[in-house]
Amino acid sequence: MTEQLSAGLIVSMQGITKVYEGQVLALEDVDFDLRKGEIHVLLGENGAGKSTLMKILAGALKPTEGRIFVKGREVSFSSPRDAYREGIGMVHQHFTLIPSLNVAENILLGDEKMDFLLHMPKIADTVMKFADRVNLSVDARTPLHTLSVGEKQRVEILKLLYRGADIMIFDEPTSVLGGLEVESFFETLRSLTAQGSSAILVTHKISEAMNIADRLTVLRKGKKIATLTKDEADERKLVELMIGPGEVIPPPPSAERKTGSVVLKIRGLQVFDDLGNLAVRGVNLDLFEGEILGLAGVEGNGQEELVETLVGLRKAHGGTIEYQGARIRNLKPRDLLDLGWAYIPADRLGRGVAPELDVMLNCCMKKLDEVADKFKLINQRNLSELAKKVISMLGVKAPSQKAPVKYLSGGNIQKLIVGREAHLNPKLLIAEQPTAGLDVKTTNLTHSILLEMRNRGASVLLVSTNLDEILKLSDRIAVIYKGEIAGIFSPKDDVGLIGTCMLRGKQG
Amino acid sequence: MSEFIDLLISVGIASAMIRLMTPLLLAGVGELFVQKSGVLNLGVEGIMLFGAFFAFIGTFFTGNVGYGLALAIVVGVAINLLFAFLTVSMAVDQVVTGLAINIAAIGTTSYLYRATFPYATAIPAKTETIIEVEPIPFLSSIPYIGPALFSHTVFTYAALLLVPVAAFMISRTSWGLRVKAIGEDPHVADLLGLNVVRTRYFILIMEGVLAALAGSMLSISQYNMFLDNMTQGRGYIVVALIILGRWSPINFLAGSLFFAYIDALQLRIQAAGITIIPYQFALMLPYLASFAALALVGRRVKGPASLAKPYKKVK
Ligand SMILES: Nc1ncnc2c1ncn2[C@@H]1O[C@H](COP(=O)(O)OP(=O)(O)O)[C@@H](O)[C@H]1O
Ligand SMILES: [Mg+2]
Repeated sequence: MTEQLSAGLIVSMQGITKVYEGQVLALEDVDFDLRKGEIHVLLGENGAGKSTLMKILAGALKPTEGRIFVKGREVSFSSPRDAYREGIGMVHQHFTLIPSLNVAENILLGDEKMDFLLHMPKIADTVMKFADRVNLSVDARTPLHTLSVGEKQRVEILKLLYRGADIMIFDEPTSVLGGLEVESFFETLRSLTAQGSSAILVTHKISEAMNIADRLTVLRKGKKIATLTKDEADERKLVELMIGPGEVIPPPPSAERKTGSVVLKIRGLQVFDDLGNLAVRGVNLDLFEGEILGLAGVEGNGQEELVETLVGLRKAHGGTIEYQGARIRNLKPRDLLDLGWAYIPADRLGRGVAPELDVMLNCCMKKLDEVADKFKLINQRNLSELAKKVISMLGVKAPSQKAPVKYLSGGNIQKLIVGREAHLNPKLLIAEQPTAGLDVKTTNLTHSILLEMRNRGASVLLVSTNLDEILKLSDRIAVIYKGEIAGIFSPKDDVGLIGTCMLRGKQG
Repeated sequence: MSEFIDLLISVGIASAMIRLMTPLLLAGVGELFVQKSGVLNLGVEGIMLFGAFFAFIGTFFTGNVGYGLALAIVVGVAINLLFAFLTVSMAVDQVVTGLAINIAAIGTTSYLYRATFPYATAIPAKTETIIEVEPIPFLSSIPYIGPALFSHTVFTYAALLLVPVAAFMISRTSWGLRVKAIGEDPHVADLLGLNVVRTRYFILIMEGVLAALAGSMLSISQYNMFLDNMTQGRGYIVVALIILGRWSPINFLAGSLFFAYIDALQLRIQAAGITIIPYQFALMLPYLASFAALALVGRRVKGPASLAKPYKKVK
């Protein structure tokens, strides 16, 4: 395979086919290659097979068919360890970190050359020196669960570098990051490839792909559609390659709003975070009937705790919450459901669904009364009918109605959640990062659903770290900074002004 | 009054406590590693019972405790291999499998005992030898402490040594770190290239050896005979002490000490013919007291996040 090496190919995957559990065809005869020192973007909609292809390259999955060459030699991996020996490391879509261990332990964990005896101070020192050398400094002794998402990702990258990976795979690394963190991640990535490493970046965000790629490969429904250089690509062309011909994207309905009275009134709300620090410091906020109120802010400014308190998952420390004139502080989620509230959580697997239960039950779990018969037993036919309605709202793709939800791809799980909550016909919806990690089509569909709810008079609190999304949908924008509302804006206001407020808080 | 103090604190009771604690420690260290790796094996009770039975059979027919112990270990390992195959390879529910082992153990050992010794219901069959006590030279001649602490079988010394070794293995070795990761999240561990299946099999085999030895202590060390259901739920006690002790070997040691002390005390109460306390109440004491004590300590520590969850690698 010297011709591959002379062509600068460090990885070459040929004719890869993957059938999960002998049933689900995820990849069909896919070719993919990587040149030394390049950033190769793998682009595709949710469920296109991107993660599957990369897991195969990283040794976490075995291909059903196909051959893989790395650095000129044919390889066959039966464990991620084998891939690491060839210098291939992967940061998975869901972090592969152990929350109860500290940073140094996590970094060391995959290292097979680890000494039998662990001397923590020495290890922490080694890890920190290493981190400084590669310009990704961390405090090695911090317990992992106290880190922010951006810091966790830094630990993941360190893990790769520590194990000596020079072929790095990142699966949707930016879907969990805020705007600034994305920029700093790209900086890191560029400097790593400038030093001779090669990287594969998996994404479905076209603008990002155009920003960072040297070359792009597009997957659609398990097949490779095209590989192009950056110069050959433009955004329109990529959308077409990803989505396929003939599939038009519906534009979201235009904003037309009639604002009514105040529905939700928050005054002086104070909430502690898990570590006992005051995360929400006296928030005052009004939500009107028939409006979308966007809550913008850099991640970690208290929006998570605020939402948890509103939906009844966290106790407030002080202040009041009134819904339609009645005090509701510290109600249980069940009571809020009865009040006509709906919630689309950011933590989909943890809060949005019961991963072990089947699709049908997950679709209906907020409307069990409706599927029960007169003896309060669940009627299978009602269940299946209601599930069908929920599934069709956003077109959830599932192997079967009886499959456990955890087997669905992330995008499809979110479609199920959004469909289920919309089907409740709520009076008030709290949507937390509703489109993070979704493809273009599903994002647009979700946006139309939110606007539709607003148009029929519901109130929507849209919590998002994606400012574009907030600007596009909101009637008013509240910026949260260090646990306080630092400003209320109109979507027509200067974006720079809103951005500054997000980063620096109240001005003047 | 001094009689009463004598009942509570004496060389005899200290020595009995250490002796009664030995099987708990042996089985407990095995089960602790098993749980650290994310597997809950309630079958530890059944393996102890099988161990007690086969150690007795082996010793009875050969007159050699070595053969008895070897037979117990072979059976113990075989049963945990079956458990490993079902729960680790086939992802069958761990609690159900463990309970099945325990039910099978009671039935099988009682049946085999009667089949082997048809007349033994009247007069129990007894082995001629038991595991010898090996007093440690010099140390055992220290007054009070010597007979209490340093006049036991090698298995007691080994069991006492095993606890700090286990604590060290968990907190100070790379192997312990990997076991913790596997117990927290086997899926992530797989993606990191750790071998979940092999690690869990290895630990379960170790537990098979230790739990079988623990059972043997009952039949050929504390007694010289086998009795129906002679473990009397000590395997469950071990599981409970581990969980209540928040998976710390040192807490587990403390819990076992306490249980063994109350156990020794209730034996004393029965032997002394104190009738104010019904003997059934005395029998219940150690169980009740240990739970009450452990329920009060360290509830904030979280256990292995994936404990008892069936896990199967995606293919
Ligand atoms: N463990 C699994 N078992 C069965 N099917 C799976 C599994 N993981 C993924 N799939 C299916 O394989 C296809 C590709 O999934 P994936 O590689 O995750 O796509 P992407 O990363 O592009 O979103 C999807 O249809 C998905 O439902
Ligand atoms: Mg994916």
